[in-house]
Amino acid sequence: MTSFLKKMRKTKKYSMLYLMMIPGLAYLLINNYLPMMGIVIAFKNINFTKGILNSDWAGLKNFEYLFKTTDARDITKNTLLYNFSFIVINLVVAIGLAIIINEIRRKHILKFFQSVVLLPYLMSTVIVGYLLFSFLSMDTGFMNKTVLPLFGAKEILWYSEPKYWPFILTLVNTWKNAGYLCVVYYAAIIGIDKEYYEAALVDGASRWQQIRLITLPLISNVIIIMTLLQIGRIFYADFGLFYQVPMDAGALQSVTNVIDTYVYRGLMKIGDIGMSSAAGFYQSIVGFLLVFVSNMIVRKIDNENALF
Amino acid sequence: MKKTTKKLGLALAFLFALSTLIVGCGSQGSTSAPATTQTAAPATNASVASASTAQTLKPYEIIFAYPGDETKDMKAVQDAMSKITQEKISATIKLMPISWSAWAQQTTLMIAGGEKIDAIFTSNYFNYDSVVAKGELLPIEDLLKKYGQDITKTVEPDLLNCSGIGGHLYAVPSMRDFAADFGVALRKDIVDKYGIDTSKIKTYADLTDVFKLVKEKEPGMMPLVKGDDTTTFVEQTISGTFDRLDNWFGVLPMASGDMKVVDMYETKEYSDALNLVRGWFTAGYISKDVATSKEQGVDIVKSGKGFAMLVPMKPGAELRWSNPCATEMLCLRFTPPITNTSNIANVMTSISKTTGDADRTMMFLNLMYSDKDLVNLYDNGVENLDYVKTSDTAIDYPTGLSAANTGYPSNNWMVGNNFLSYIWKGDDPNLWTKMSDFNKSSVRSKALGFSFNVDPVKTEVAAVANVQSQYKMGLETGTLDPAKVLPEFVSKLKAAGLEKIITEKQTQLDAWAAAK
Amino acid sequence: MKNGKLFNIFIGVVVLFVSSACILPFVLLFISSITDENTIIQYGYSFFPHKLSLAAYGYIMTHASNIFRAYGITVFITAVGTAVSLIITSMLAYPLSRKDLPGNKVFTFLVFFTVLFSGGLVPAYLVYTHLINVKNSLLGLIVPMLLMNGFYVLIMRTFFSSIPKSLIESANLDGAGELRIFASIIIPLSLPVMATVGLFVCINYWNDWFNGMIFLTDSKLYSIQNYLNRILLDIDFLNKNNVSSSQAEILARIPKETVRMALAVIGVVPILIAYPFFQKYFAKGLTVGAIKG
Repeated sequence: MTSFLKKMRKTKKYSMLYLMMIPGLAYLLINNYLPMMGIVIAFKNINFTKGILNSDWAGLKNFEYLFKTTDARDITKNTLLYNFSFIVINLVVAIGLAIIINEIRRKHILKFFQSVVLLPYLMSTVIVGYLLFSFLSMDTGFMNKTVLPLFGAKEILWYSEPKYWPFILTLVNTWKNAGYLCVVYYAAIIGIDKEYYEAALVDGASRWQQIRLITLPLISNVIIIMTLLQIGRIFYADFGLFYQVPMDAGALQSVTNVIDTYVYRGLMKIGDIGMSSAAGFYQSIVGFLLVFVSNMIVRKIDNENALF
Repeated sequence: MKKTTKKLGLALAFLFALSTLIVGCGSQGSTSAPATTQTAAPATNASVASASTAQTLKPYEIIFAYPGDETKDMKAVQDAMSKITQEKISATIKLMPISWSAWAQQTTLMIAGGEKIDAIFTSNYFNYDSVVAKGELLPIEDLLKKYGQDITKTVEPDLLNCSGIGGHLYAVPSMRDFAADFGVALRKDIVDKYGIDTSKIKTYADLTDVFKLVKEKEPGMMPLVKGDDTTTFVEQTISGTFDRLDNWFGVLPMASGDMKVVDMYETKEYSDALNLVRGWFTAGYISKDVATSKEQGVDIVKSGKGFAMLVPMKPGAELRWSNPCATEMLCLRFTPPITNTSNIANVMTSISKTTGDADRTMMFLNLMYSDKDLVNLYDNGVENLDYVKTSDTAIDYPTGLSAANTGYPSNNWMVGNNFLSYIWKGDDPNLWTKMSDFNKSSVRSKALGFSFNVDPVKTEVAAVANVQSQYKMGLETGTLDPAKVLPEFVSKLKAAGLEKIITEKQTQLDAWAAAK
Repeated sequence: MKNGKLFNIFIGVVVLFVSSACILPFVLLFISSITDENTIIQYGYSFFPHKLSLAAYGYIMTHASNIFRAYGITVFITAVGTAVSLIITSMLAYPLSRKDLPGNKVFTFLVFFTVLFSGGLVPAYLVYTHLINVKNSLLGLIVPMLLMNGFYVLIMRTFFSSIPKSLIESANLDGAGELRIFASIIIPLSLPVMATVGLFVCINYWNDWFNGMIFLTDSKLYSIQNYLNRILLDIDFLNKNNVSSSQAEILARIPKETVRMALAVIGVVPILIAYPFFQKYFAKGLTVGAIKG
């Protein structure tokens, strides 16, 4: 009897929490779970006259182009390697920026700096591609016409030399996204109780030590969740970055072709929604597996911060 | 943990069941909305319906979707068109322009969602064959027989058949320039300044000396700039030599007597063209940025930085290129006009499978090939509002209006028999006659009417398209050295499955020729 | 103390370097937008162009009345969307942050799953046009894809869960209901993350043109990005596909290169003006201690 009462009390206690979740879950149901039905499209030869569900099954034929070709290895490697380095580099730079913002004492500089780091994120990739072209163009580019002659170096055919592009793309990616990501870490840092720092000051800790021993450990939960979420998307590449920023230059494709650009180029003239759906499914599965493994590792080390 | 997974499984199963229910209903609802499309053989269904509707036509609104933007006078045009169609086929017209950039996505989604569209623009540029494969369009050959007499009278069968896929027709081409010839557009002032004798320029190779001269005398000017973003120099120079058979993956040489599909990238013509353009590039007649720059050729010429462009021609090409370049351009034609399936299938009109009344839509299309007033309304707008007549066949903008601020920009190429429309002042007064002669005089590809069904080799096409995008721009603009790169390109194409595509194409072409 | 000075200099240098890296491209963008078209084609983009021109803005101003309406629509959908989004996101994130809530892990996983898998465009379109008809309505710009996102729910959940449990428990003992605790303790303590997610959602709404592209055929409902993108993509499209001579004539009058830049400027500036609104919630001192005291 008492246990029943307890249970009733407990349910009542939590009922409000469950109620609060309803609008959000309902939205996910409509916006995400219902359309997930569409994953069947990846296995179909879609014909709208027959309707999606009644279209003929295609088996795994829609997936073939992702694996059977000579480029399959390259695009998989490029996608994973780039995204992996983006996750690491963006993490370091974004946290660094957040810490620096936190250390700025003058209010107007703080406000100014907070705004400007967000600027690159607001610029569309197409525009970034054009501005970069104004630096690297062979006829009128700033690098070839001004910078390189300054050092007495010969002009470089930037858009035909793949070896520079892993750096350029990483740089552009960090430039564009670090300021945006740092907002999250900054929000976490300013949530840290000041008492910790005051105590550290009393102990005579330097600012470096404060960062290492207080700031970083206290925002580790945010770092972990952000990283896990990004690992889940590791097989999705930023199409604009790899297509528009290198100006779709064919000579660079060995280092700029990723899954998303490969699918785009391959399907441009076919327009097959089954095949594009298959690519999406493949990307999700890989992300899912990777995040599952990462989460297991996190759970081993620090159960509190595991995602599920 | 185990418990969690079990609960999770249950929850997912529930969601899946629910979603099957809802989306299932949704897509079913979408197919059941238009009555004519329900059955497997819509043609027979339509014929049953037509017998009764022919005498007593119920009022109906025909939605006509085409790429373009809503313009100020569109409603006025729509009302005036409806007045005519009301009288003749008891239907009103609703114009539905969809912006060019959103076209492919939005129309696919609308048809997938069962939203009503009757007449719809189609083009091989927007992957006509895959639109058909996705079941978005109705086959029209029976409708054509019944209600499309004026269409079949106007468009000769060989051209009409260009929309044929899998034994059915799904579209009618608009009447315009069906053929294309190729050549070069040069700045006339420069040609005059140095007394260049254009009568001696007969081939692309003859241009080399001209470029040399311009390079020497006009240091700030690039002798050759690209024509448009997507068509490379080499593609322009060989377009008269091969019928590309949809996608360049396996082509038919125009000169050959048989129907043998060949790999263009291994032909002598192709490597000759590459070498010619490469020569221009290394001599500095082409900008080093040409493969990546997004600047348009016409804009470069306009800015005074360019001299010549390799471009497609047609009657009136001089104006077509002089206008945007803001300077007079001389057009030299190097190939006879050529007609192939790709040219025809570029601009067509179809009937969507979501139509509510296929018969009436065909009647409307038929009117677009026979009713001069209706064609003029759609092409040029409302008289005295968007244009004034200057003679029986010629029109001009009303005072105060121009191409820049008109309430209805002319559209005289998209739908129907445009040869029925008035001719704008500034254009050749005999434009349509000339264009008709141009079409008639053109050399026809032996594969005219054949469309390639990409479906059996989709995987290979996706892979080959990727290889192509890697090399094409670089090679065909002269940026890459063909001596080094062409063999690599050819072997990578083979590795990606080009031969399988060619074999498939050959099979389809043979079957098509046999059936013909 | 020497250490501290060095640290300050280091920070100063970084701030200076990062600021210029972020601002200079934007300055270049702006200057390009007021450069003469032919100058750009001849000499490329430059901080010190040979010739200035306002032709791009002149061309855009021919669309002025539409642009102002589109701004209005964007401001409306951004404000409504961000507000609703913050409410439902935080209401979902908070219970998920409560480790004591039965079923917590299942729900968290359900949320996370949506970050990974999506069904694609066609099914989403079918759901939104058949289940809830958002076609050609402002709902089409607010609801689909943008209103809530598992990513932000999980970020918020992480922040909520670092609030000390003792606070919630003591409020519970005082007889406060869960909703009260959420509204009067959790939210005030979480203003920085609310501002962060709010900013992200706001940017998403502001920059979105995709929903407009697929759910709207009525251009009167276009948001500013829809409108700007349509101008841009249509120019691009017509450029690539030489369709007719009359269109070529119209195209010839548009300063294409500079219009692109001007459109980018017009699209970004308002959100910079809105930024300080979020900024004030990034203030320090909103710590547990402050609430306690």
